[in-house]
Amino acid sequence: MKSKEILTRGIVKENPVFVLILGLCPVLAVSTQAENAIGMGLATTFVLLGSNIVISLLRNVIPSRIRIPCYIVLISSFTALAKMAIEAYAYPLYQALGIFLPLIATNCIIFARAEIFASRNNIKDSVLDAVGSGVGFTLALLAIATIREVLGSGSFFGFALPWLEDNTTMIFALAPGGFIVLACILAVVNYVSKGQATKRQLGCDGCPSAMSCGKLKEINDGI
Amino acid sequence: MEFDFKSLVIIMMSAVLVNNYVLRQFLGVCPFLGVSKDLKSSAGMGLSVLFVMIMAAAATWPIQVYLLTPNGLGFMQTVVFILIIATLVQLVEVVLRKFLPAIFASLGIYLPLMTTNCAVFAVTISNINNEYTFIEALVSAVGAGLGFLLAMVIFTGVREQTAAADPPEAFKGIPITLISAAILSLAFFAFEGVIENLFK
Amino acid sequence: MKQTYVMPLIVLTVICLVVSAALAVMDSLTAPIILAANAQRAAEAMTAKIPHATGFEAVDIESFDEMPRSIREVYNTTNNVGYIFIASANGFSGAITVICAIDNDGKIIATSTLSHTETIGIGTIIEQESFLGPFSNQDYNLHGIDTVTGATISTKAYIGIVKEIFEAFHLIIG
Repeated sequence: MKSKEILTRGIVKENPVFVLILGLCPVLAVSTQAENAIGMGLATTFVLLGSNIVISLLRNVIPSRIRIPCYIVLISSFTALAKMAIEAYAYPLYQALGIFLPLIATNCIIFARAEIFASRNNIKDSVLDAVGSGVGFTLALLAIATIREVLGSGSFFGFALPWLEDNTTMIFALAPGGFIVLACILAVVNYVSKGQATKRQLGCDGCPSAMSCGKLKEINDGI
Repeated sequence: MEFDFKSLVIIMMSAVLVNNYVLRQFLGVCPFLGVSKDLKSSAGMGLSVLFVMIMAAAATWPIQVYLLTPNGLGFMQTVVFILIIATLVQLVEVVLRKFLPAIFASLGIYLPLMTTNCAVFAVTISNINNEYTFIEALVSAVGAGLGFLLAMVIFTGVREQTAAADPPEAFKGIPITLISAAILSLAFFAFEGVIENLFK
Repeated sequence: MKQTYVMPLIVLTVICLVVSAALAVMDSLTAPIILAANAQRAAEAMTAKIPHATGFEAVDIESFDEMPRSIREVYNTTNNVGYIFIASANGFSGAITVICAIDNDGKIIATSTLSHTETIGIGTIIEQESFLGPFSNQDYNLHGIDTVTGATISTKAYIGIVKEIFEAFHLIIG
């Protein structure tokens, strides 16, 4: 595969949020402000990059039977590093992200990239893959956050917008708004790709746990 | 040890109804959307989450309070908690398989999914962040788990209806599921008033 | 047999050790910055409450047996113009942390919310001037301060914290 394709694949064709439907929890939760969305996106990209590099480096050292615990340890420690750095140097962001900062450790996008890509490819490709998926994740977050902040809070990156600031639609800032905006964007993705992009069923296909479980998939397929 | 029964009830009720993990805090959205197709699997998933949440809360709280905090190892929290949850899940799986095969048959398949379930991890972290006592931590875990189970079961019912509906072509599949989730989330706002007036 | 068990164990142990070491290094780098920043923020918040204070010194709250559980930190002003209390208790969804300044006559100088995790749009009233303003100049009776409909639990928790702060104040004053 060409380098360029590896890089761009995560941004458009296999966008982790809009196409693969992964990592929805942070996407929905921190997308009320565009600023926080960028912060979350960058923090996640950092962890993704770190874990992809290390896992790619160690791909011949880690025995396959213990690869899952190894990934868990590596990903969660990169998360802890990011958490400490953000608390020290970007405290407002630290407060805004709250519990979703440590939760990067359970973001299935990172796990999926480690299992599917980094454990089988060289460092250069793994870096490109991480950057691609990270940017794709950040852009998706930013898109949702922009809609929610403009409509829900009447501002953009904290700057109040004329008229909108006096006519906010509060539901967009609250929980249901997150679901609605994501649903509408996915519907657009569906429409543009003529139903191809999100054709697959929700659930196990993209779930990295499916690798360690595999059983649930059979059950789901059976029903 | 004294504890305030009323504050425990508030922690519990607000975790179940008002600050529902899935519908209000967006924790555990993936299994919520993925495994809510029929009642059997959604109840199984919900019960597993409830079970693991309680176990995880009971295991991580003492480790944080008696091991990490006194020794200045707070920075290991993320790694240690995740490892504990992962180990716990394995352990529960082995124990269930050996001693309670009936329960294992119905819940066992969902257990491996718990390792990367952010709702379980979030309960353990927020117990520490909120400086809950051990009892409060357990109660909040039970509340979060019950809330997850409730949301799963209700949502299964909703999805059985939407499956029969005929939305616009582009909304078929995941988008209409998300819209249903939004409406259910909106419905949960009503509980805010209920809790408000219960504890006046 | 030996290979299949020993090798994974070694790899996992080494990874864990390296990771712990990396985290410890990072912690030793960031911990002083975080502590300093927290102290800075606390000092700023305290000075904002009592601008004419020349300095603050911590009161040892451990030495009072009946200190309410919610009280986190208490500071006396070096020029004896009042006390600062930092207290937190559970609101709707987790802890609400309050900073409150009380003068020597037992009247609130000002109070505000340091941090909270209440629901956006409903519990956030505890950040707003309309709710916080009336606390100024109140004594422990808190005349005319009432819970706000629609945010009863958050506001009730807030008032509860302020009441406990007064309890603590009277303990310290003696």
